[in-house]
Amino acid sequence: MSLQRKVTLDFRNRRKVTLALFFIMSLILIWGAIDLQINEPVDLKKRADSRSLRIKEIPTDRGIIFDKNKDPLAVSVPHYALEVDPRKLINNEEYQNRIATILDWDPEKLQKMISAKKHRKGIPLTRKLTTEQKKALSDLGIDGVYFTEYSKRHYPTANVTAHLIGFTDRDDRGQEGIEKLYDTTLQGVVGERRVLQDARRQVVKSLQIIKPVEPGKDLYLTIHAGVQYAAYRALEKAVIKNQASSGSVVVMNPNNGNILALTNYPSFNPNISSEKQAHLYRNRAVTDKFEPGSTLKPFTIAMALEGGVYAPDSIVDTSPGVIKIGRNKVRDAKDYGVLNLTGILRHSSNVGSTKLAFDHSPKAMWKILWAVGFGEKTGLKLNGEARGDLTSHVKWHPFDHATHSFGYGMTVTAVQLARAYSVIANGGWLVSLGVVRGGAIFPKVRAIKESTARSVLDMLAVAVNEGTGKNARVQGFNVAGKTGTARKLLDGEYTSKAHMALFAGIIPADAPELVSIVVIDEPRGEHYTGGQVAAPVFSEIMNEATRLLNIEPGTSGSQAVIENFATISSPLGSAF
Amino acid sequence: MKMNFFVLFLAISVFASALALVTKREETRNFSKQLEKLESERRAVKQDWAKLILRQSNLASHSRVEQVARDALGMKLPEAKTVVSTK
Repeated sequence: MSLQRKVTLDFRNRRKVTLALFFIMSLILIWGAIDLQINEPVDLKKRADSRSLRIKEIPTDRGIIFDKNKDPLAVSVPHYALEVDPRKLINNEEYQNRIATILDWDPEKLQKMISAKKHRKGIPLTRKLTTEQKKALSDLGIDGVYFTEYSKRHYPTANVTAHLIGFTDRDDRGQEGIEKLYDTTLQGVVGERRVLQDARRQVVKSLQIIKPVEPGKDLYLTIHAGVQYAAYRALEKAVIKNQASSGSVVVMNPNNGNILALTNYPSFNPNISSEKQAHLYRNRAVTDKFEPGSTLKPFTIAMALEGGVYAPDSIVDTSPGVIKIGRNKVRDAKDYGVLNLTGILRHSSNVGSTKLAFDHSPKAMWKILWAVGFGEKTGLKLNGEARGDLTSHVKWHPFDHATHSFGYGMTVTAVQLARAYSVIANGGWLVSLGVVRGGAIFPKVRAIKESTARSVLDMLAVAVNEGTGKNARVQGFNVAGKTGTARKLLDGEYTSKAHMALFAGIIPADAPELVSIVVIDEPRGEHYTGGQVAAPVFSEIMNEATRLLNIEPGTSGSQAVIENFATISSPLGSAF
Repeated sequence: MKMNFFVLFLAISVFASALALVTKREETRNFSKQLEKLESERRAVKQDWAKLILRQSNLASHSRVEQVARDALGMKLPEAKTVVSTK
């Protein structure tokens, strides 16, 4: 009996001890859990998350630049760069050889590269992987071969649009031209998303979009690739033929200010990095200032007509072909005698222009030049656009007053000249120039009276048909325009050795749809005048442009214009 | 008794809203996954398109057309006097 009792007591104690032990162990575990949960949860949570949570970029492509007919001018296409991890490939000659074969490389070259940098994490092999090569390499399924996608810009029209479109850098950021001007629009916004990654940095799960991606927007220009090409080709031919140093052409629609072609020569190919030389970047049509010479005379005529003293058939005596102003002289090529206003344009008489200017105040002269947009930017907003020089009439000496009437003593850009001729072409409105469709629209401003614009336009048609601009004629069309041959300044003096050959034209003269400026800088060939060097370029471009733009030749309006010529010229028929 | 019903109602509501939260979260994930997939598809399609229009414009470039017309087909621009315009 006593033995049984003892045994029971022993068991009871053992049970108590065991339960106590269990209780203590559970307490330790619970404390451990509480400790982890309360005392250092932030640190642990952070460590866990950092291993798996990542923010990844959502890439986007740069928008495409199109011309007005949706022909591409700049397109981004994805390319792949290849990188290998030497540490993973160093001991595998077979893989090295396969990679070399796919890349069309000498296997030894690759082996040398890998063994030379065997401790590096990664070495870039090439940035020019074709789609086929990339596929073949990924099909190999080798560890240690990585691809990086990058975007490369292509310019199908190459040299033809190089100055206008510009180009991007390695990271697809705009550096010049439209690419730079509209960089933000074209670029878009790279998105961000939160993802779960495993230890091998593979995305396991996409958790959340933090910043939505905004794809780069496409841009539509007002440029017509066909007209642009015609302009570039004609310009290139003329610059080479006349051994000129450079040239620019602007073609625009005078009625809305849209630029249809804007090109310069020499140019560069933006697709070839070695051709991208800084001295070739300059968009001369926008950045280069020059004295407009005789191409300015139509505005002197416009001033005379606006003043109300002169009518189209008013006469001016230019004899004896020279006029003295202080110590300076203004000369004509010869004594043209008595001329009407049309005659002044037709013969490009400096004396006639001077006399017209002197019959008006310097302020009137300055006012007309300012009204047609000289001395201010055109609204194009292109990089480095020059304002041109138009000093205040208050500072003019009488000789300055005279020189402004035939385009010296002030400077303009090709686009400014195009804008000014648009005023004559569109019935007297000053329009803002634009090169991007749907860009900011500025209200047009009346610069001169409609009747003045019409009269000057008619006179310019005579200047082409019978005067210095004969080479600018286009079969089937009535062309209005003015030539210019400006002497260049060399060491502060006008030289007879360096000229600017200019032509400013409007087509069709009866209902203008295009205005074009041709500038040829320093022709050193047989010819150097605007009529011989620049006017034929206009003719060649317009021959193509009118066909490409479906502009109808010779409308009924041309008859009216011709009759009009008759009335203008009849009183002084003998002068022609 | 009334109190018990109220507690039960609250318990059910808590349970239901917990379930709804989980479902919605899953739905959001699925949708963002779908969005991501569609966006990358859009990008791939646009890239393909870019490649194609680039190729097209290379083939149809004015200089190439002119060269083929002149050299391969022996074509030339008609002279001005041979052109008749009709209205």
